[in-house]
Amino acid sequence: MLINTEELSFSYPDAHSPALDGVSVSVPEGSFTVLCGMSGCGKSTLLRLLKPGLAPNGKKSGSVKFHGEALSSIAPVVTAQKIGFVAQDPESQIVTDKVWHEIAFSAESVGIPPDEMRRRAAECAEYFGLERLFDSDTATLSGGEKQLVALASAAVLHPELLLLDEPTSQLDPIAAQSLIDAVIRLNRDFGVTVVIAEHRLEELLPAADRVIVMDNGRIAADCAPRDITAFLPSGHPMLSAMPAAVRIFTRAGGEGDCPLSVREGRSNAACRRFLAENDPEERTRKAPVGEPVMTARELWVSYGKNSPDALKTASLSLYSGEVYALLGGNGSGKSTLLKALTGVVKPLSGKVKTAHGAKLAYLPQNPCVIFGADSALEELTARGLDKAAAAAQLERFGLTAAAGTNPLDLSGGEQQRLALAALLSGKPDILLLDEPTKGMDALSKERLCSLFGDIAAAGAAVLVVTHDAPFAARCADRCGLLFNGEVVSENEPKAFFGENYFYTTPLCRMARGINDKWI
Amino acid sequence: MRTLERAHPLASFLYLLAVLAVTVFTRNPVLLAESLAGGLAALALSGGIKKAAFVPLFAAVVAVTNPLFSHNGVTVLFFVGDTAFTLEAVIYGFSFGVMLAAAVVWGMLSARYMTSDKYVWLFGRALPSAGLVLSCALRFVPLFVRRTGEYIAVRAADNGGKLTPKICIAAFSSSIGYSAEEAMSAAGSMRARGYGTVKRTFFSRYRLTASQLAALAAVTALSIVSAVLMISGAGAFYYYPALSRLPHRTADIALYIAFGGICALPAAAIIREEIMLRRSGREMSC
Repeated sequence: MLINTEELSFSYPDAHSPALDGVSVSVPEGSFTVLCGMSGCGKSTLLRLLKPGLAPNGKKSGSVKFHGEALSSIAPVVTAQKIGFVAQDPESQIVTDKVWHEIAFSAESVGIPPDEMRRRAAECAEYFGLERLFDSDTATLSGGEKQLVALASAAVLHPELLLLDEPTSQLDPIAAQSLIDAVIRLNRDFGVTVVIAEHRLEELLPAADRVIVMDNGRIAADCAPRDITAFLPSGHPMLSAMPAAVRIFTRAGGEGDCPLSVREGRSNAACRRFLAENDPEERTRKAPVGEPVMTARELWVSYGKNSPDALKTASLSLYSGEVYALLGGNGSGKSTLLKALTGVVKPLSGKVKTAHGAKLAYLPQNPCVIFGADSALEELTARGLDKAAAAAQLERFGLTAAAGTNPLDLSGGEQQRLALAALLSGKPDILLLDEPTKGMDALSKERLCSLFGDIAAAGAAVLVVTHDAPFAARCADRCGLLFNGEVVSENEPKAFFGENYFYTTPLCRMARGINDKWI
Repeated sequence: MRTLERAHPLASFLYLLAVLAVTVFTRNPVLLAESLAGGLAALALSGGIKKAAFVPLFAAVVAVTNPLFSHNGVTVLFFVGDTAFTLEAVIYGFSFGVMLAAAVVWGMLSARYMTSDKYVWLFGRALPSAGLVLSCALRFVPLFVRRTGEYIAVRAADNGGKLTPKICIAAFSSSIGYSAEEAMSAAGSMRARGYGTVKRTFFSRYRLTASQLAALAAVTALSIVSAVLMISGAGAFYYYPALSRLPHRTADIALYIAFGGICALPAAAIIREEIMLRRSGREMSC
C-alpha cells in the first residue's frame, strides 16, 4: 500500500460531531481514486490529514501510514516531495508573480540544486504545455491555467502521491476537462497515485479505478466505479450526483456492471429500455407574460480600440416571475453582459431599460466581494433588517448556527447562502447571479434551484449566468445561449437543450434518438 | 530589444548605475548631451519616443526658472528692479534641465528592460527570502488593486451605479480583510510545497554566458575608465561666476569617448539585433 489510514478519527475544536469517524482506507500504488460526498462530509479533512503541513488542528486518533511508515515520522522535506497537493482556489495557491517562479518555487523550497532545477522546471513546463506561458505574470492567467500551474508545481517534485481537493470546482467545463485530462495523464504515463475529491463526477468516474463515497465522516462505499450502484444504499443522496448513465441505470433497476459514460449508457440495454419507456417528470415552465421588467437592446461593449468587442448587439428581455439561465463559454461576454445590466459598464451603443422603480441585486462569482461586516448577523442588519428579521432570514437559509461567525470564515456554500440572504433582504425585483453553482454539491444545487423557484414565484425576475447545463435545464423557465457577444438562441429548456447538439446536458446526449423528452 | 530584455541582471544593473551616476554628478555639457542622446536613441529604437516629448519643454522650463532663483554669474542680461538676470544662470538651468531629462529617460528605459525578474534575481542572490518577498509583492499588489476595483464595482451597482467616498473606503477595507484571509491559504500552499523544510536554493533564469560576460566586461571597463578620468579631474566644468572653457585635453577627450561608448551601448545592441533579424528573415524567405 502506498498510503493507508487505520481507524482515523478527527474532530475540529469546538465541533459537536467528529469530522472523521473511524476511517480506514488504503490506496494501492498507481491507483486512481475518486473521493466524493456532500459538502462537509469530511473528504477535504481526510485529504488534508494525508498531507503533512496541511493537516488541520484538532483532536486526532488512529494512524496514517505512508509506505507502511507512520506519516509523522517521515522528514517533512521528503513528504513535501513525495505527496503533492492541489487545492480548490486557483487564486490563493499561487504565491509568486511569474509562472516560471511558481513552478520553481517548490524546487527551491526543497533545496534542489540550480542545474537540476533548471532541467526539471523546463521539462515539467513542457509536459503540461506551459512553455508558452513560462514568462507570463501569474495574474494574467485564466483560472484553468492557474490550476494547471499549481499541478505542474506539485509535479515538478516528482510526487508518488497526488492529492487534489476539488481542483475543478472554480473552473468552467472546458478548463475543468483539460485539468482532469492532465491528472489522468500523470496517472497513466508515470503511475502517479491519484486521490481526487470532486463534485464533478460525469467525466471523472469513467477514468477512475476506485470510488470512495463519504457520508458524515464515515465511508459509505469503497468500490470500483462500476459497482457503485451495488455498494451505495438505495436512496443515498450521492446517487443524484453520479453521472447521467449511473442515475438512469439505478432508476432502471439495472443489475451487474454499471455504465459510466454517455457512450456506455447509450449502449446499455437496461438504460435504453428505461429511457424509451419512461418520460421524465416535468415541472411546469413559466412562459413570460406582460411587460419585461428589464430589457437590454443591442448592447455593444468594447474595452478598447485593440481588444475585441466584448458584446456586439446583445439583446435580452427579463420578465417578472421567471428564472432565466444564460449559458455560454468563457469569453462569450457573459460577465460583461451582467456588468452592463448592473450599470457598472457603459455600452458604446444600445440601451438597458429597467421598469420604473425596480430594484436590482447582483451576486458576483465570488460571494465574499459583497461582505463587509464582522458577522453573518451584522451582514444582514447592515442592510436595514432589524435583529429579529435578520435572525429569521438566517434561519430561512439554514445559517442560524453561523450568526456570530465572520462571513469570511464560513464554508463556500454557506458564504453563497449568506450572500443570497443579504441580497434578498433588500427585496430586489431583479436578481442577477454570476455562476452561483460554482463548487456546489448536488444537494446544494437542488436547494438553490428550489430557492430560485420561490423567488420567482414571489414575483422577482432571476437571471442566472452559468456554465452548468444540467442546472439550467432543471431550474430555468427560459434558457439563452450567449456566443461571441450576442444571444444566438433562446427558448424554454426542453426545446433549447433538445435542439442543441454540443451544448447540452449529458442526459440529453444519452437519450438522443431514444426519447427526446429527457433533458 | 530582446537582447536588452535578456541581458544579465548584473550587467543591466551595473550599466544603469554607471550611466546614472555620471549623468547626475557631472556638469559637463558634452557628457550630459551624450547621456541624453544615448538614452533618447535607445528609447526611440524601442518605439517609445512619444513618451520623451516632455524633454524640450522640461529643459526650457528649468532654463527659465533657474534665473528666478539664482542670480550668480557675471554676464548680466537685464535687471528687473534690483535683481540681475544672468546668462550663466540661464545656461546652468538649461544644462540642469537636460540632466534631469536624461535621468528620466534612463529611468524609462530601466522600467522597460530592468524587468521584475531581474530585481528578484539581484535581491534573491544576496537574500533568498527578500527575493521571494519581492516576488510575492509583485503578484499581490496588482491583484489587490484589481480586487478592490471589483469590490467597488459591486457596491456601486448596489447603490444604483453611483460611487461615493464611503463606498470606496468600505470596499478598500473589505478587500484588505479578504486578502488577509486568503494569505492563510497561500501559506498552506507554501507549506504543501515544502517551504521551510530545508535551506532554499535559488532558481536563476539568467546565466553568465560568454556574450553576457563580454557585455559585463565592456560595461565595467568603460565605467572604471570614466570614473578614474573623472576623479582625476577630466571633464571638469564650471558655470559660475563665468562659464569655464570646455575642457579638451587628451584625458577629457578620452572621457568623452569612454562615456559616449557607454551611452551608445543599448542603441547599438538594438540596431545589431534588428540587422540580424532582418538578415535571418531574408535568408528564411529565400
